[in-house]
Amino acid sequence: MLRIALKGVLARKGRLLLTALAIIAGCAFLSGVFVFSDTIRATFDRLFANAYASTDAFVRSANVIEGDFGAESRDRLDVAVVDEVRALPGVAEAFGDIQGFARITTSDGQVIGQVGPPKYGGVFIDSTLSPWQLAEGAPPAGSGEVVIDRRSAKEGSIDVGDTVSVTGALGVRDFVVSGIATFAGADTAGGSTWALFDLATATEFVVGQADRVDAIVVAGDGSLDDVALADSIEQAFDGREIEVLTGAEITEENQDAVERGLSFFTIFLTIFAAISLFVGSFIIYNVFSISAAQRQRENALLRAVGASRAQVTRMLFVEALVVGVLGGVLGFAGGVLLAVGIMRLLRAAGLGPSDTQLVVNPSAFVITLVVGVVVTLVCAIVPALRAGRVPPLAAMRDVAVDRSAVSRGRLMTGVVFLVLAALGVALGVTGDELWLGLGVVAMFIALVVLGPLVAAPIARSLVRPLRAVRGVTGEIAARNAANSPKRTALTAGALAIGLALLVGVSTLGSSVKSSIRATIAEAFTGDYAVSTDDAEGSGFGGLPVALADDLVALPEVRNALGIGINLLNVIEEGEPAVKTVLVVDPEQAAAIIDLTFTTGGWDALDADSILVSLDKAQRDGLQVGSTLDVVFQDRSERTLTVAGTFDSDTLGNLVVSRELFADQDTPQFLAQVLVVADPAVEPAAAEAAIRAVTDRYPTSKLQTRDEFIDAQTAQVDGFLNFIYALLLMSVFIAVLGIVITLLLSVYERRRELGLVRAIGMTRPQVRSSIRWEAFVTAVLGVMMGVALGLAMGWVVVRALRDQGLDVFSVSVVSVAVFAVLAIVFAIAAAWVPASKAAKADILQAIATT
Amino acid sequence: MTTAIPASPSTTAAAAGAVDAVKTYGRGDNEVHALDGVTVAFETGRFTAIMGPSGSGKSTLMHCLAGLDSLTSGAVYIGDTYLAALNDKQLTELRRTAVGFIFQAYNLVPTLTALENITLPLMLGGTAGDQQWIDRVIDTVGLRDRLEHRPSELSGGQQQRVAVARAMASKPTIIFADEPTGNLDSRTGAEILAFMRVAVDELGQTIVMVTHDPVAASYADRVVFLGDGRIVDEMLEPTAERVLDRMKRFGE
Repeated sequence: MLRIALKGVLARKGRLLLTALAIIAGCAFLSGVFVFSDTIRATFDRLFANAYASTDAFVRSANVIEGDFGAESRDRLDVAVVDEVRALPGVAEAFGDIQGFARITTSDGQVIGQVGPPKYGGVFIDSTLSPWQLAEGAPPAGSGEVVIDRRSAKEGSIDVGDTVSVTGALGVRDFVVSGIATFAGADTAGGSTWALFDLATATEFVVGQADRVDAIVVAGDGSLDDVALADSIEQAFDGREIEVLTGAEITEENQDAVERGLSFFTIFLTIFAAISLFVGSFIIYNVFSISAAQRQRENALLRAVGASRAQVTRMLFVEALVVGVLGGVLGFAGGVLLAVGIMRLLRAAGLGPSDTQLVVNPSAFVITLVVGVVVTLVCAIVPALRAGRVPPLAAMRDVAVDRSAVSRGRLMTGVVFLVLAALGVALGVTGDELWLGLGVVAMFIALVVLGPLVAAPIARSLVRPLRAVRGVTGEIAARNAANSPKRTALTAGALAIGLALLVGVSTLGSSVKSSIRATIAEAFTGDYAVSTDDAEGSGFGGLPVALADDLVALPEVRNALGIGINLLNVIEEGEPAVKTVLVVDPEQAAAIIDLTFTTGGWDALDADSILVSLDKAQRDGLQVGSTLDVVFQDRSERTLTVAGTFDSDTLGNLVVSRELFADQDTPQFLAQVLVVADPAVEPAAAEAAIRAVTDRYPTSKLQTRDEFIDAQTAQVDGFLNFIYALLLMSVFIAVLGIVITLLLSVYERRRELGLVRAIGMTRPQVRSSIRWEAFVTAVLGVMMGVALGLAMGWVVVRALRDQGLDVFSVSVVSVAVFAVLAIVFAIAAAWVPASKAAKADILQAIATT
Repeated sequence: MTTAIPASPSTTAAAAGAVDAVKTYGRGDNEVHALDGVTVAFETGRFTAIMGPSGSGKSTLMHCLAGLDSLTSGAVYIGDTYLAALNDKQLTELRRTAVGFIFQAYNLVPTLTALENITLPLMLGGTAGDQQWIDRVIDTVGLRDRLEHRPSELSGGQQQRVAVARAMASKPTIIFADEPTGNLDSRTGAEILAFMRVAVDELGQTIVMVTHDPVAASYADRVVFLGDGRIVDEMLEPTAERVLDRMKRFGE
């Protein structure tokens, strides 16, 4: 039996490949994600291994506050500690290190580096300890010299002796390039740009805190192993908030941090790969069903000559196994190519590390193969069972296509799921949000179950318009689509799911944007906003506090409010909990932010008090006069009095005065400054005056109110486009599904096609009728997809209402674009089956034997 | 095409015909002459049957006459049109306007109603056709009350009547029928043949029918016998017995 099955599979190589296409595409996506993330991980692992290759111990402050999403705020060390460490037994070398933001600009104004990889400023450590070694030139000497990485030098055609200007967090200054360095032999580390100074210049210029260093890298003299060395240094600083890691530990810590970020990213991408496979599974199921139906006579013959039901069923499973293995293997190969292509693209765009080496893990192959086989086998279950059920007598009958549609059971099941969906949504809206998720799942199932029921009427309703537009070919197309509703519905269903996700995401995005607009418009009453150039400044503080003060001092400015964000340990139920607090100048805030206070107000906010949102106040039983204990980064404690409660969800839960951090060691930065111009001053003059100030702060970006709001929503657009790109794979597979189904239908209808050719249908008419059938299928998919997508979008927006998403908005343009594109793609893709149909052999079709 | 197109056929009344038609399949030792120099004309307003044993070339002749297949050499014409000069598009249009077809089975488009199937060639050409004529054809085959039915809702005989009506709908120059009763029981078959007879006698149609059934052939005005790709005999006003007798001689 196995031999018959395999022979059957091999006899239909074209069919085999066609069936496998959908699974190949899904598997390629999946394995592409694996290979891509494995490669990136390996690249960063190597990067950090190189960075700390000669580091035996790593000394840093033990004072740290860790917030959500890996946000971390760590104290710096006094530079004097470097000398203390160097004097310790077992230590051969010790150097202070700094990591901050520095942007290199050539003398003719070219900014080095692309958006994406960070632009670092640091210390040039003149020792074999450092991964940075000079390729040419000399170490930086004094405050006027810098060493840059070789890639930056190449990009900007910078030679030793040239002058470059470097932007630090606090200003711009010119430096002479004293040398060009390589990182562990490579041009740079992980695609970033580097400006390296001597220690004094780095501390003063890059982070603006002279005599403070981020960490101390230590090389031992060989008398102690790394662990013993780290222990001995730690003991030497016993009781002094200093922690010591071995070289291996700091390497691992950095690698782990990347791993954490990457695993989130990998899971995120894997979800989209899973969606692709899910959409693909519709296609695979459809192909197996059609295939089994077309071979009904053959299967019946096998049954007639003595094959058991189980044997016939098993045959189809063998075929599915072959398809799954083929799909998995080819998909994996495709995935590797995909990963290589993406990395090439990233490299061409200047993003990401340039020194990647492709990592293909066996586990990626095994997982892809298993997923491919399992998905295919699962899809084959129903068709295989149905194939086994064919009566031997069917061998003597004509091949019947499954044209059944409206069974009562199907209708009942569909309605039950629809009711469940409505129930889930209703329960979710009023109570537990988990119900919303279940409601959405029920919606999907209802779509699959009810699809065939709506497919026929919708396709039939298109008969008339199509006849009016395309004459009889259009009519035949719509009739054909209506004639096998299950097949049409499944094919359309695959498209519907891809499209539903696109529409859902677009609706969510549109709602988010509208909510952001509403929120900002409500909270931000200023005329201008100064924010940091986020692509540049991310992770490196933000705007200096002085910027806000300078703006306040301008006669053209009525008010300027600097808003900072900081982390603070708040003692709750005896345990310290890290909270994000908004840091403002109460006097300016009172003038700019229109906040509804339920009790208290801005004027009561001082260095010893705090404002609490109404939500939090009610949750924790706080009121004006209540106290909160907080712990700073340097472990000092303070008790704050609640000075007011406010009703707004735009400012977070806790607001403090900037005086609270006044005597703290770590520098305070502003995330943004909101500015209100003096209404008496000409707007152009006011803007010019403000711009004159912000121009002095290199990382600042001045925007009008409208520009600022647009910029906030533009971030959402960027993310949306990324998700659209990921969902495109699903839509691609769905369109592929339309092609495959039509190809099979053309094969099935070759007699009919031959007949209409014989009685006078021209080839262009045949092609047109197939294309219009694709059109009908796509229209059906679009209708179901848009409806489901809007419903899903609404449910998700509703579920996120508590997160401040209070506007439901549909981007009509996006939805229309998706719908039209899906239909156009489907018609274009139908070119393949259409030309196949036009080639139908008339003589073969009308042959009587 | 090796031979030049010959001059106009002698019988001006011919609806269609072949001149020295040769059709060869395969090459060398495997070469088979399906048609080996057939010259024949089918007069307008007459019902002709083509008979012959399996492999005699009768289906090939019909396919070539209808423009479904091409000759190796020689010529076929419909009306005053030589088919060799036509490209695929022109051939298709010719089939749509000047030729009607009745096949043994798979005759109808399953998704269209009976009426739509009947008028399909007209619709494909984008014309409404002669409504009076179509009504007359429909009444002749007695399908008036079945027009909105799909093929799957019609009996085999009814389906074949739809096919007959479709073949006549465009008032073609000639109708080709390929074993039109092959799939039907004898009573239904007789009914279809009677309709075809009426189509010729009362509606002035020209029909060429390929068959191996002497009874079917007896409905024709003339029987042309084919053997090994050549015309071997001809019979006017045939009866089933005489045709059967002639056929028996093929076995000798």
